Amino acid sequence: MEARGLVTVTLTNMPFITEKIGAPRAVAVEFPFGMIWGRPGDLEMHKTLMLQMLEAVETIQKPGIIVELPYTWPEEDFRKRDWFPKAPTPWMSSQEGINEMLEFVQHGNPME
Amino acid sequence: VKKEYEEVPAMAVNSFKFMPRTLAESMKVWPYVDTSGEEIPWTSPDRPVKECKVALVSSGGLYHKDDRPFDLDREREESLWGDPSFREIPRGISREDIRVAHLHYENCHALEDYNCMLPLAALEDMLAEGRIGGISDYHLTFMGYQPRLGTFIRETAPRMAERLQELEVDLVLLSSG
Repeated sequence: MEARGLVTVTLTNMPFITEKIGAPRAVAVEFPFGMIWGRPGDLEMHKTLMLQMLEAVETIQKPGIIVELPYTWPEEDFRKRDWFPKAPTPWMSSQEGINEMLEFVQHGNPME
Repeated sequence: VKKEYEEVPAMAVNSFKFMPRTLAESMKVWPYVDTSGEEIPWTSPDRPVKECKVALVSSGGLYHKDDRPFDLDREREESLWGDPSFREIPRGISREDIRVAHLHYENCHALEDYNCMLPLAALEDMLAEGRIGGISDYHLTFMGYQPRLGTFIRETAPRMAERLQELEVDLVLLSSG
């Protein structure tokens, strides 16, 4: 997108990966999968993160910067562990799937 | 007052906090697409953010109920395959019209309030408060489980970029699953 003239900013909860692959501008937050903008109904948090992303567009002057935000997931919500899917994902559902995944992680080509 | 951010030397955000340990260990050694020899693409904004037309792009697997779901049946058959296509979500879509097809996170929160994955209400507030210049008529979604990224990178991503340009978008806010 950026190469085609669009300005982008990414909200990530895995800055480890974002840094590896390289994003033009990113904002990182320690929130779970499925609720990366905050809990359902928490419009104030959704707006807070969006404002930080807009600010990042104004302030980041060179590619590859990741701004880490200080917000944390409340401990009582963390204990709910309610971001995990109720059913195991397909690759985890059989020994064959797990073996294929291990093979991919060790020797796979992500550009296939 | 504008300030320029500096790189954070050691990351404060724990990327693996919400993962089971086995998955976290595999993500640490995952075969990521090697971009080490490439420069990160960069477009400088040609106008202030408050004049930009904005679109959201989410990898959360959301789609309109009248649209085709992301293909989870094939993933169940072929577990290293993820549907590489994308969908469009119209501005102002109602909660009742949103569906989610993504097997790698709990979908119930996004179904309760899609704004926790695609914050269209926050975006409308940004416009009402004069912080952005406009909102795209459509926002784009895809399903982020893509171990083999070839089709997504070669075909889907360029098509999404073209579509956003057709929609006359200036600024794209991307968010992950």
